[in-house]
Amino acid sequence: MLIVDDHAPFRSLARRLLVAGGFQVVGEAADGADALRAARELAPDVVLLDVQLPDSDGFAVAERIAGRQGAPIIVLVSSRARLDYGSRVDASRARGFIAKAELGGEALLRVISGPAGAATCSG
Amino acid sequence: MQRLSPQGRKVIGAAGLLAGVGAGCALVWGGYEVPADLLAPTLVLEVAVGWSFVTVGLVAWTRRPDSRTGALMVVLGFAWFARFAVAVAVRPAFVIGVLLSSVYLSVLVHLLATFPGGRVQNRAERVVVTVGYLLSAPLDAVFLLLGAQRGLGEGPPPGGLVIAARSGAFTPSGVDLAVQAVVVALFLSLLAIVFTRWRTAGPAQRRSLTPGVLGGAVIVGTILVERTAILLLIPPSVGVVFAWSAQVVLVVWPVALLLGLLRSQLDRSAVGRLIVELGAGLPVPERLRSVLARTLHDPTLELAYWLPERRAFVDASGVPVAVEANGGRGLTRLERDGEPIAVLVHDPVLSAEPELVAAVAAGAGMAVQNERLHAEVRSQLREVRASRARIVEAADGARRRVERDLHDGAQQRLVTVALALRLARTQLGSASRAEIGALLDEAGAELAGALEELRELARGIYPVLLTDAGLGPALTSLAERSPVPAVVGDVPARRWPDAVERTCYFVVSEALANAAKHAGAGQVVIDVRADGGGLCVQVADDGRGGAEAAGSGLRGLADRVAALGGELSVHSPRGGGTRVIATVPCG
Amino acid sequence: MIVADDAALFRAGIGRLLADAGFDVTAEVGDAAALLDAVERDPPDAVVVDIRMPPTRTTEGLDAARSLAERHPDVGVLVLSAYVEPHYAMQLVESGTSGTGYLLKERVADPGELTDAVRRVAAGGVVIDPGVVARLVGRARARNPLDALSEREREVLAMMAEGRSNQAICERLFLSPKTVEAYVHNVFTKLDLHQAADTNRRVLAVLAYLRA
Repeated sequence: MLIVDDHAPFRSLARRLLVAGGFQVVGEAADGADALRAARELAPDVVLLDVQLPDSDGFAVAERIAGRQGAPIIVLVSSRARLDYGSRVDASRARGFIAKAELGGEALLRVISGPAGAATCSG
Repeated sequence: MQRLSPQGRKVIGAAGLLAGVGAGCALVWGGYEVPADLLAPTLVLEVAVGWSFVTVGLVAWTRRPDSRTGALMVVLGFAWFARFAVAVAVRPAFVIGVLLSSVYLSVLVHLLATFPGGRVQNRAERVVVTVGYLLSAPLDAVFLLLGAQRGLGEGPPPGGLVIAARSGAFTPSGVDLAVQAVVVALFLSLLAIVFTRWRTAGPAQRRSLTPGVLGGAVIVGTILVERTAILLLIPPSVGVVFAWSAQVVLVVWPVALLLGLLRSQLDRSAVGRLIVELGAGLPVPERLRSVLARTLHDPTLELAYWLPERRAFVDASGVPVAVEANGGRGLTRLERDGEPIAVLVHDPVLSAEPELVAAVAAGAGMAVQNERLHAEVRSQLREVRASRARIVEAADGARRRVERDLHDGAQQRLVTVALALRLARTQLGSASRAEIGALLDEAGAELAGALEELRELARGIYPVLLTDAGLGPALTSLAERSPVPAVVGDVPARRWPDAVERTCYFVVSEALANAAKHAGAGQVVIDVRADGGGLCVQVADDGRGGAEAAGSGLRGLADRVAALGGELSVHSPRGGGTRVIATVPCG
Repeated sequence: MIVADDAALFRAGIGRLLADAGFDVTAEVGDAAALLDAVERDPPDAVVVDIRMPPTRTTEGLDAARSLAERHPDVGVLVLSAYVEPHYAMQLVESGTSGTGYLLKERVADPGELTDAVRRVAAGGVVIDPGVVARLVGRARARNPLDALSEREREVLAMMAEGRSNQAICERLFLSPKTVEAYVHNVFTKLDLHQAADTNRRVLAVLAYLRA
């Protein structure tokens, strides 16, 4: 999977948490442009995407990644709560949303395994 | 023109009467044979024309002392009678009569060209009037000399410009023709001037122009036909008919002129009505304008009030308006004690009647002054509303920034700490002590970062030193953190009301931020001094200048300062550094 | 040793840290009045006091330090604060003859720093938080006289401002006393400052210079 977030310590911790949870992390990206390039080159199965990126809006990046052939599953993360984004998460092409403080292998698995689970697991 | 005294009026009236009688006598007993069938009508008409001008002129002079038209009419009447000197069969009388034979026409040209004010107002009018006078007495003097040389001797009057020669074969010389051509050209120009004035007149002026202009046009038209006839070598007998008809019109014309003058006199009484109307109740906004527009017969009239504090004109609702003498609009400034209070933007033809506009303005003086104060209040109210809206917006903007800073900064770091702790917990069994320790160190570093960011954020929201220690220490602290070198001069050690200290602090804070962000400044000097009961803060940098006082940051500062009744000024010449000065009163 | 802080958890934490480091914590109090009472009853070597305490939560800690300096000049006072404000630190140092310190609260995360500061204050020394000194040394200046100093000299200057003695500077920078003395001399000469009689007055002189 691919981790997209501009805060390096978060990327590093998320990587370790997810690896501990049984995921294989193939790359990291710090902004939207990086994310689009990495998603194309590394062809990950899952993209963990921060909603707030320095150069663009996470929703827009999600839209562009999801629009491609054989697009990966996209999971949005944010330090804000899901409620802060209203219906934008549901309207997006992301599989689900995880609040950053709750990130972990299990939470991610729940989101990936089904949209129904995604709605319940996140703040 | 001077106001006519009752004595003056009597003297002139008596002189006019005598002149008429004298003219009649000259015609009857002057020594020349006048055909009997012509004598009576000639006598009646000629004398009637002269008296008409003198008497009606006197009335006009009395009723409209501001216009010279009345006086010109009186002069015209006397000039008219003066022609009859020629009818006295002695040589001096003949010479005088010939010299004055066409002066009345010059006066007529003068009168018509300058009607209704009686004053020459532009170059075209001046040319026409001057040429008109040159064509009468001076030209006749030349003819007289030439005639004497040609040995005309004591022959019959040469006719000059007045009445076509009545006897014998008519064989005009080339000089005569040239003179007549000039006369025709002159009258055509006169018609053009009069017609243009009438066409461009606003409703107000047109009202007073119409009767006089119509009559004048008929007279000039008749004269033109008569002269053209001479040019076309049509025998003078035809011209005589026109000359007669011209005289009939001449009898009535003064009345038409008077009517015109009195029509604008009626407008003067409208000033009286205006005062009554305004006195009936204080005008609501716009009403003063419409009342003035009605009085001056100019529906396009606009009224702009001068606000000395803002150094700007505003309309009745307090909206700033640009007042310039462009677009062909006339401007009349209203002043009180040498200070402008308002300006009337009106139809340019009203500029030809400055007295009327002035009278209307004077009549509306109190109302204008009153309305100006209202406009000022409305303008201030608008400004207060606008600034209140901006203050609210600025506060909202500040909240958004704080929210974003909290999320992007401290919260992001705290989330990372939470993750690190969770990871440490899950790895307690599996990882080495060193690995766990490194993870906890990571969490500690993130926590320290979060603390630092929270501290800066809190400081930005409100500086603790300002309440604890006062403006001086707070400004010193601000300067110590400024990315641009900043020096704080001596700050008086006393305390001021919270709001005053706060405002001054944020003025300096914003100005410092601008100096660092936009000005490319090398140094900033902050100066605070007690100013009367208040505070004066000056922040001067040596940067590139050109700061916009309307920029949102400075605008917000100005609002803050204005909210305390103070004033913020920004001097920022391009390349000359920026100086922000705030003066805040206390209490 | 007395700890004064209105936040019970923080107070207990400090007490525990100090006790673990071998200090004898005789009292833990929640406000300035209680602190003064406790000192009156049983004067300790030093007190650790929060700058903000009831009732106004502004600068009660500084006020208490001033009172203690008058009545018990031999009791060291370490003020803990969340503010990186040289103004407060200067006030504190100016108010007490000796044994005063201004430390940022977050330093307690490193127990070593806290106990070191308490020890120095109890011994009559002056402690200024390195963060506060860093702010002064690092501030933007139009014509920066500190540019004339070498890297090492600036380090020595900062340590003097933090209230460290020549001896302490030797230990921290692993230098000989002679070398440190030379650095100190250079700093004072280059900055055109008069050598102060003792470490504490030297702190004041250096801080005042840095703030000017």
